[in-house]
Amino acid sequence: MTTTLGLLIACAVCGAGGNETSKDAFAATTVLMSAVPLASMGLLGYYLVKRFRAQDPSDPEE
Amino acid sequence: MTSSTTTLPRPPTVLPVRRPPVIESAVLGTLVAIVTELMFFTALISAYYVVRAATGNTWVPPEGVRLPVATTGLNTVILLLSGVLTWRAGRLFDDSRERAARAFSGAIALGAFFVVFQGYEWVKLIGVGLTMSSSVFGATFFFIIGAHALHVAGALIAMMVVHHNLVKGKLEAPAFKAMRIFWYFVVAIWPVLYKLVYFP
Repeated sequence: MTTTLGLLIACAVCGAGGNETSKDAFAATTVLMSAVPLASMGLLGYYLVKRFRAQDPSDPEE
Repeated sequence: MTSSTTTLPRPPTVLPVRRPPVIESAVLGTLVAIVTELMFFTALISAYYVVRAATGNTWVPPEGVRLPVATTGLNTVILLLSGVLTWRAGRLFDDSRERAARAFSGAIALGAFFVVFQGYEWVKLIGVGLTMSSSVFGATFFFIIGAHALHVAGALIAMMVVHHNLVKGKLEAPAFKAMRIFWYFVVAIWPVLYKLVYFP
């Protein structure tokens, strides 16, 4: 991660890179914003598959 | 001339077995909406962290401004209680619509109190000089807390419609479940924002 920080702070609009705290915040929030969509969509998909498998196929809809 | 026709045996009629839906459409739609809302709040939180970090160690309210940490903490408890009452209404829905409606109206009342009290605190903060344009602190404070307040207000309007249908006996279980899930989200995200903004 630290080796890629040089690339990350190339962001021209956020002002990150001015100090160490800023670099850390930018790196952490990049990870957070990458992980949250994937995790939430993954959890939703997992929940749907689990519900589908839990269904009894011999129990048709009325 | 003889004509012979060959009659092929008809395949047995097999009706497709229709499985019940894996999840109710209203609930699925709400869950997808919550995923997008989660991303929205994550973006807000990320922006807050980056802006705060860029200011170094000077992330404090402007001079003369004290955030109402204690009273907002109390308000947080009220919002959580609203979530508990919503859960209770869901439990009562199958047994007694009347009792469910009563619990749900309590949840709406507490939610309304939360948002009105937030507005009151805002007026006081604006009175002592903390505004959107007064500082970066003020801008992020009002933007994050305001975004949540808008969600609470919007959800309350939807909850009032749901409550009306519940009282009239026109409410279907999936719609009620979807509404509850969205309210749980609005309630659950608040302590995170409270900790983030009120304890910088």
